[in-house]
Amino acid sequence: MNDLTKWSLSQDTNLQSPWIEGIPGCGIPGAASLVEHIDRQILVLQRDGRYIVGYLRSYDQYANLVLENTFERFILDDTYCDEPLGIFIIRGENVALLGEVDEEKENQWLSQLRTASLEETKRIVREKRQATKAHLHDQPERVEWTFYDDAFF
Amino acid sequence: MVLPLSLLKAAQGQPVLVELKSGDTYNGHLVNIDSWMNLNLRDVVWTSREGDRFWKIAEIYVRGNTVKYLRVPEEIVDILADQQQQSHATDKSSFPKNRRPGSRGKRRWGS
Repeated sequence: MNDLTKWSLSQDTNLQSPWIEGIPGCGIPGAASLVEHIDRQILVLQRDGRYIVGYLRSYDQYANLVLENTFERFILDDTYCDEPLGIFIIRGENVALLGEVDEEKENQWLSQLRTASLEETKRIVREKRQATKAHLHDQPERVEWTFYDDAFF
Repeated sequence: MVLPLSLLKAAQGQPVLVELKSGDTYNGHLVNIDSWMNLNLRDVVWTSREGDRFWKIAEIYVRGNTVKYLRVPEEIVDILADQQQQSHATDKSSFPKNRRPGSRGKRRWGS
């Protein structure tokens, strides 16, 4: 799944060295950087609430991401479903957070869930999202402040 | 490493899918892209957020800051590999890419 033959970077350079030119985010030991996640599988939570999983192939100073073998993971209570998406380029500002996937732990967790059909899962997730969004713009109940109990009125 | 915008540049002419922040998707051939991710697409199919309405549009211009994500076909990887092979073949200078800074300066102390 993790086919590196066409993406040459991690094969011919030492990613850990902070002096390699052309790799953004290097040079400050201890600072957060995406370079450690290159060619690893990461899970991205987008601002719209979607989970995207893929192998991180590239990024830039805006944290725009290039993911390969990407899929969207729909998670309901005890079921999950993956939709394959191919090559994904996410604009950096739409990422809420991301993290590296630990394959062992993930397999453990996934084996406890059921898989479901993609159509059904997508429909349920879409309905849920619409339901939660429906109340976002509800007006709060207006409270009438009265001072008739005030002792001096 | 191919930077994201360079990859998009290489995808010119390919069919791409763009989803905007609004949730609408545009499927079309990428005519042009610039450094702000502004896009020019042709022969576009617009799909609404809910996936129930469709429009066919000949040409559209998408402002880069409205893009949520793009999907490109897997063939782009082959195109990139070819491009990199070509650029390595024509790269005459033996300029070392992996080096410590300062190593190009004057040699000192008789080493």
